[in-house]
Amino acid sequence: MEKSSIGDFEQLLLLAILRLRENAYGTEIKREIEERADRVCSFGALYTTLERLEDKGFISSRLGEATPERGGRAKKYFKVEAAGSMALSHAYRATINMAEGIEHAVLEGIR
Amino acid sequence: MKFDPHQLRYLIEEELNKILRSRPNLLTSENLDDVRQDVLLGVFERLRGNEYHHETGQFVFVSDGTPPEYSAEWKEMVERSIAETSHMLLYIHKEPRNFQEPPARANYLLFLAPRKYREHLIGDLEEEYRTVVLPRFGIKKARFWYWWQVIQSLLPILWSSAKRIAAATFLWKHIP
Repeated sequence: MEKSSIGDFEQLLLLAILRLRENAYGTEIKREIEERADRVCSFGALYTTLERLEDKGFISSRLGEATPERGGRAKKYFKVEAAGSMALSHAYRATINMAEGIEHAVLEGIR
Repeated sequence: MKFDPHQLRYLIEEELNKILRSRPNLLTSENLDDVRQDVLLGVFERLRGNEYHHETGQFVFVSDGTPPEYSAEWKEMVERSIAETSHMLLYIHKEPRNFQEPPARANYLLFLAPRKYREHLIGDLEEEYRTVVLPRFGIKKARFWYWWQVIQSLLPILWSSAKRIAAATFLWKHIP
């Protein structure tokens, strides 16, 4: 496996962060994945994976504002870095290349 | 007029919370019925778009300024819901604090999570608890949800830590 390769859940996280732009923090990322990917995800799995992506240099984080509904705790916003974008496009290209010519078989499960 | 039972339950809990915030020592085993009556008034007014101030016993008529008038159907519906949630009154009686707060004991368990993101994890959990789960499902289910989320969240964290410890132990033993 290549150094920059990413797993299925990591791809979903990176895509969710890209989709949410400036508003990518824990609760919203979880909601985005559950709504769009129809996949249940716990905060524990979310933060473990986010930490791993940050260690790899794929994402960076900054502290945000604290709100009363969070018990006065600050939000942590995430942003996809250049290495993360590259890893994501590599994974996306690999999926497209593998599916080329057999789209009907791949899409069969959706219908 | 039909009510969403979850919404009604949430209103009841909110009214209870409001009463207890203004008079924390109000709830005793002798005056459970009085408190129930007070909650009933508050809920009726909320459903009518008005506000009932428990501290002063005054109504604030937001809708049209008319005095309260309850239909028998409304009254029966809300009374039944309050009777169903009477376990809540007993619970608060035993533990008279802000009962809409997430379970503090569950948060203690989260001290097992890495310090790096522990605060953000608790913040996210509390935000979802207060803004989504509690208004939708009521206190009992929301508290269960919170505990379940904490347990579910700790499993991958503990698994990841266990793997790191196992790898470190392996290296320590096998690399001269």
